[in-house]
Amino acid sequence: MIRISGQHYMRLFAVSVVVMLLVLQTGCWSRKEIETLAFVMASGVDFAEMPNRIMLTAQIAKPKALAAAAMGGSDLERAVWTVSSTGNTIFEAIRHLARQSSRRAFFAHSQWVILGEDVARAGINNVLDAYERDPESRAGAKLAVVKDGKASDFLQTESELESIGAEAYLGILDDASEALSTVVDVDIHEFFKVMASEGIEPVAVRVEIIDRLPDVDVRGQMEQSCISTAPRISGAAVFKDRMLVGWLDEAETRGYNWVRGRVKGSVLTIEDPKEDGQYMTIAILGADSSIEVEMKDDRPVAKVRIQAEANFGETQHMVGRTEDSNLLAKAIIRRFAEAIRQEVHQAIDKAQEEYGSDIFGFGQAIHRKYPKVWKNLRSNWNDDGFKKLNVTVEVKTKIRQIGLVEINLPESR
Amino acid sequence: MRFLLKVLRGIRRRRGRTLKQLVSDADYHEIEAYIEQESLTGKLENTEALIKAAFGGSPDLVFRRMRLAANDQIEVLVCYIDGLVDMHLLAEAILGPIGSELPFDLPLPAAPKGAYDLLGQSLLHGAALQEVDELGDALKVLSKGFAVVFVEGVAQGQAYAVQGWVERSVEEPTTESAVRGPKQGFVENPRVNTSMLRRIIGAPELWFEELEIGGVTKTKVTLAYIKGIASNDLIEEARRRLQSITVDAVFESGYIEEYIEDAPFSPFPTLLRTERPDKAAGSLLEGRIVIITEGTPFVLIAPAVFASFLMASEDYYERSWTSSFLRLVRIIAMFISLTLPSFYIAITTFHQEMLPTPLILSIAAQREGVPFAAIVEAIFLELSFELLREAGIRLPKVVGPAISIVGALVLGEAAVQAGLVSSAMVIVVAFTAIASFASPIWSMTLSVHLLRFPIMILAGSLGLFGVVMGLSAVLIHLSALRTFGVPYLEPFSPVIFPQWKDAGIRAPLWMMDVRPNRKSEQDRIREEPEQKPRPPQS
Repeated sequence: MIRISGQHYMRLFAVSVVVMLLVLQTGCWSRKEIETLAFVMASGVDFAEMPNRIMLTAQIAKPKALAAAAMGGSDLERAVWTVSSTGNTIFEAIRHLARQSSRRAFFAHSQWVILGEDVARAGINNVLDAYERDPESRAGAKLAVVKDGKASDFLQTESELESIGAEAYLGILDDASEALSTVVDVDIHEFFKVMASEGIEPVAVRVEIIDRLPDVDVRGQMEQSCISTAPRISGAAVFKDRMLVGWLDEAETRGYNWVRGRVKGSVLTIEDPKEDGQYMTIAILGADSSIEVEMKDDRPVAKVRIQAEANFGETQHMVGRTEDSNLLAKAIIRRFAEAIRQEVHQAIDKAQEEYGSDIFGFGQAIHRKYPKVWKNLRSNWNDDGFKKLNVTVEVKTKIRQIGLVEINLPESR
Repeated sequence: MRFLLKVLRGIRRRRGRTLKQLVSDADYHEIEAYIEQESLTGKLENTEALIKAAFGGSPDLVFRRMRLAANDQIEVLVCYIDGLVDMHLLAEAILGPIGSELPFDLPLPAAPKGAYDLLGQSLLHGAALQEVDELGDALKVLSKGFAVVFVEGVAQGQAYAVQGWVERSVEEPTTESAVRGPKQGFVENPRVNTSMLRRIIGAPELWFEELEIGGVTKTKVTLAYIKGIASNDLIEEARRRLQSITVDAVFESGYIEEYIEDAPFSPFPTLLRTERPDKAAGSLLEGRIVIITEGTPFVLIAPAVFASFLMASEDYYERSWTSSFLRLVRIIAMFISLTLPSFYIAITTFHQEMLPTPLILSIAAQREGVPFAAIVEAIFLELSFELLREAGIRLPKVVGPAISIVGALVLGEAAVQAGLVSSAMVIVVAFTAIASFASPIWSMTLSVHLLRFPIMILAGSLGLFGVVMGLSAVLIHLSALRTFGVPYLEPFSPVIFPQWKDAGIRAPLWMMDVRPNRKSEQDRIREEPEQKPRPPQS
């Protein structure tokens, strides 16, 4: 039988004391109590007034105001605090926030990085490094450029539904990409990934500041809202060589999304094949795409194949199970495909002619299939090869359901 | 007692003093030593004095001097302890026959020895006649409720089992109630307990071995097993461990547990305890041993692997799917109860980036204005929960509701309103508390409660890294544990796939055809294969 002597007890005691001291020695290293943090929901980068200075704007959530709003208290108090600081670099500017913030700016929940247009035009090379390098920043944060505006102004915009701006922007982005596909959904991680790849140029979210219209209440009276500006998200910002070169409008953005296979859902309005001046709307359910490249006469040619499925959404003219419904359906499908092709060509043309930026990744496809050919093309791809690239678009469409409605209006007899 | 006496004998060996002197000296060691030397002389006077002295003249000790009705030359002394014997039985079986005429066909005893034999063989009819040769033996059986009969001139006594005392009747087990299943629980009387096992297990292979442990309490401890199903090594080991206990008192099976468990310093119990005869019987049929201790309704089961602490006997009465689901719930509950506060502390003080944004903002809003660090808040609330629980158990039943009102109001409402603690932490602690009570075995619940605090401190000082370190330490410890030679984490480590049918899940009974036995000599077959019920084939 093993008997534990006094010496053993001493040793046991000593060991446990050492273990406890070891744990306590760390002194709660890197501990940060939640109430000592200022949760930055979105941050924006602009040029400061002084030359060569960067202004960083942080949209910081105010938990107290959020709690008050949740308790049913007044939501007059804004739930976010927008604060700016300047510095020679972004990192410095972030640290300079400490001059104004009683809590440590915590970027791990920052969901947006927003660039002013001038910053984006000047080149994002020296801007985004801080976001890439900092372990605290989220790779999933969306990257956006403010069209004709400053990031700090955009971060001041307010939404009626969400108390935190960043949440509102996220909601808009999600909703728009599900319902319209006229936006691009790009986060920092993807942006960097594309930027680092050959033969493809990145795009970013395009955001705008719009004037907030006064509310009209049910009695038709105008009501001055305290909200003056509101966010709007649509289109895309096109980059080339790490600089903003221009924008895609909504239709072009959807054209871009068709090529990239990113259309999740949208509506497309086409002219009625039977009645002039009448329109019908098609609800797109989803799409697939592929880019194929081939060598023709020692020059690459590209072919984009798009398959789209849709439901019949609305018609301004009766569509019934008439004798020619088959013909009609074929006509609709044809027009539908035509509409898609047009959008795609719009987008490609703009990228080729105006911006000279291969945002679709045709170069990447050539790189993958013909690496040897790519070696000769890569040096001047955007300005030469891509511009001269012959792209054909092939669209296959399918209407799943036209609905059970036989006619949309009772015919007057 | 033997142990005690051995010591005593070594200390002193005084003789020559009279019994009276000894009693007045009130030095029990000397009396005991005196009694040890003294053997029965056959003189009733002397015997009575000795017994009286041994019990210190306690008033519950009763002596009844009688003369045999058949031959009034022969003097008889009946001795018993009032309250331990059944008076009706005593009168009918012992006192009656002594005081009445002999049946006509028996020879009249003349000599004391003849009368003594006659009493034992024909007249007295108490159960379990036991001859008492030493005074010490007489003292022992007296405390067990025997009546001892001495005859003048015979240096021997006869002990009759006429026990009868007030006892708790068989009731529903309070700590392990079941919705479905037998409603009777063990009681304090070991004989009733063994009878309950016998009634469940009809086979004569159910063997009991009785030991007496406790130098002063002389508690009966019964080792039960099914011969042929339990491995001989296990029985041998259990017997060895029980026999090696030399202690003066055993009040509860917990005493036995502490002397025979494998890892005395481990926070985890390595013996299972139950109040349910069906559970004990089930364990016996799995080849385990059961230790029944006199004076407590809790019996011990060994070996007890970790998985068995998550099982309830009801698992086998409900259908397989539901039982398996409930076991899963218990496993999750145990994990929650062990780690939830730690995870909360670690994430809110170190890894704020891990939570979804709306959630972290909501927690931040709740912690707004709370003066304590999360770890302090957590330890404070956990401790107050432990206090409430302990108070709830110890309080008189009448004031019980009062404490729960105070606890719910003070902790749940006032503390949050006053901004001393955050409501998120109250929710976490409450959830942990609920989860901890989902464990079917109380001793395991307590172990988990105990381990929660160090892991919380680790979480507060090192974050998730600390939690993982703490859990690893627990896991390493668990893998190193053994219970009566069986790895504690069996059947998960080492992996024994056939036993998984009855560990994390509970497979249908007709699939569990083999007993979870480990030795080849045992009877491993539980049932005929292919018993899955199916509609008649036509």
